[in-house]
Amino acid sequence: MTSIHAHGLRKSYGQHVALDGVDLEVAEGRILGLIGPNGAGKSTLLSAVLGLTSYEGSLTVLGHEPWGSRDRLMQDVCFISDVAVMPRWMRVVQALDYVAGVHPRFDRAKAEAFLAKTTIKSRSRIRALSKGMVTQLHLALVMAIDASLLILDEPTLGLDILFRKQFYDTLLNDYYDRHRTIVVATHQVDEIEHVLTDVVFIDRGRIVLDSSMEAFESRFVELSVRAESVDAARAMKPIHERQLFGRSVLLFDGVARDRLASLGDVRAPSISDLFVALIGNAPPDGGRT
Amino acid sequence: MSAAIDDQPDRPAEAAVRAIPASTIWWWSIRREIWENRSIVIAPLIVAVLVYLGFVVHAFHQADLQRAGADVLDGGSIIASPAHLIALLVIATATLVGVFYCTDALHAERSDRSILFWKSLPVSDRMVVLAKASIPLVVLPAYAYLVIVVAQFVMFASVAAINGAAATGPIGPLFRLMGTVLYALVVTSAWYAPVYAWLMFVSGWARRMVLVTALLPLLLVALVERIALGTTWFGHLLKVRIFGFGPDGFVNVGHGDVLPNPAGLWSSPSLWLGLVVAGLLFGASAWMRRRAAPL
Repeated sequence: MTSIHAHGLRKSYGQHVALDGVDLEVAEGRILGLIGPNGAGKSTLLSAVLGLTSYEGSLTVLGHEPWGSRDRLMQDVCFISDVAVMPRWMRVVQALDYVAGVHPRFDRAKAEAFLAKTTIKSRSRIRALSKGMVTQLHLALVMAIDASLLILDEPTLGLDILFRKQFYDTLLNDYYDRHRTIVVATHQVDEIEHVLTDVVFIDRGRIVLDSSMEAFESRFVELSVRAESVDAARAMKPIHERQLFGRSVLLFDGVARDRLASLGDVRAPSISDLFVALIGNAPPDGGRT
Repeated sequence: MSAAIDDQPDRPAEAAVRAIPASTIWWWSIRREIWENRSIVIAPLIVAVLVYLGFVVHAFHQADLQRAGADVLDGGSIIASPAHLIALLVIATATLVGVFYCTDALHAERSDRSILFWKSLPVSDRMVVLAKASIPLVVLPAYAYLVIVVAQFVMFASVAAINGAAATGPIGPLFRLMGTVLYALVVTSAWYAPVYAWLMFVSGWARRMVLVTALLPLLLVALVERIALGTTWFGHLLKVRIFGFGPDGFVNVGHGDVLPNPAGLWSSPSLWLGLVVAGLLFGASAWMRRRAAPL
């Protein structure tokens, strides 16, 4: 089943084109990393998926057209964002009461069990909690909702590494199952790379790369080339070259590993390596694969 | 992780989800508004307590005069005018709280950026505006009535205790007053509906200073009309709407006394026109809420 289906998705704010014909298909059970520089259109894309903004083109999320049916869609979709802050005046217990009151898929006992493992007190006001605790509270609410799609937009921004790690561990161990789809947009891509099943690069409102992680690993190869083989390696048309400890590191798209192995050390690039190669120093319309 | 995934049973069918009735969502939305805006509960209560305390001091003073042999009752009762006063002040307070509530209603959630949290829940924008509109139109009047009635009974009992049972006069007029208060609350709620709606609508799009943004264009229209046409039609309309207190709903019987006039109320074109305008503005507020983003 398809969780998100977008075709020719466009959104502009006056002269600025935020989404420029995005086609995207996310199947049920995938964990998709949405990676892009600031202003690339990530948040606009997620806003469209969540029914928070209007758009041109076609978009279906869990069978619903988001802009026309946000309230219905939110029964099945959860959303944690750096910008979707919880109301600071609210008490923890009020947040539980309210969500339990309005959300048909909320399991209060589950949220309370999760909170019991933290130092958050139910009478505390949210303004009295640290940023990490607020994220824990939000995560507790979200994990107690039996949703089909979870959207995370920089959910761990401003948290220390322990909180970040705990956040993703909790999500994967206690929440994720093969019926749930997770879309996560973040700059801290190295920390989540190992959990992703798919990766999408977005730049200037367009999808630059859309790949499963299996395909990613077999398609892209990074070669730390020996000095005498540099010219031979360059002849095989790398998509990017950088210097590391005095050696040239070349990134190839669709070149067989065994052809490169004789020229130096071969390894799979990280997502951030490829991100830099495709987007980091690309000319205005270049680098697209 | 993969083992955990494989152990998961298949998800029960969609039908297993309980549907939450709209009335329940409305009720929780109201509660959430009251949690956030505690002045809804506190302000009318404080005013009532202050008036009551002043009244008790007055009652003891009257008791001293009574002991000195003066006829403080003068044919009436000690509580008639304080009971009126407390009703008037609590209604005025509730109306003011409603005004300030509305200027904040769709603005606070944008300026503290919590709007995306609220929008991540399955509550429609129409429901949000309905619940927010219910605060000045239903919740505050109902609560004000409760406060007034309780205060008036307490006043009655206090007079009986301090000044003696004879000083209270018969309880009939008090019940009549309570009826009038209920009527007055309905009238004010309906009369001020377009004011609340206008403020809420402006709070849905103004970036800052909602009250100023709401008042300025109205005053400007009145001013332009006066300069360009030499007439004061719009200014008069505003004045009547703000200070009129539902003028068609009462008849003046002289001596500063007014009586309810329901027939006049229901046949008042300005009341109905105001309600239509309020409906349109609340609808526009829901439209704005759907497009609203953090400031």
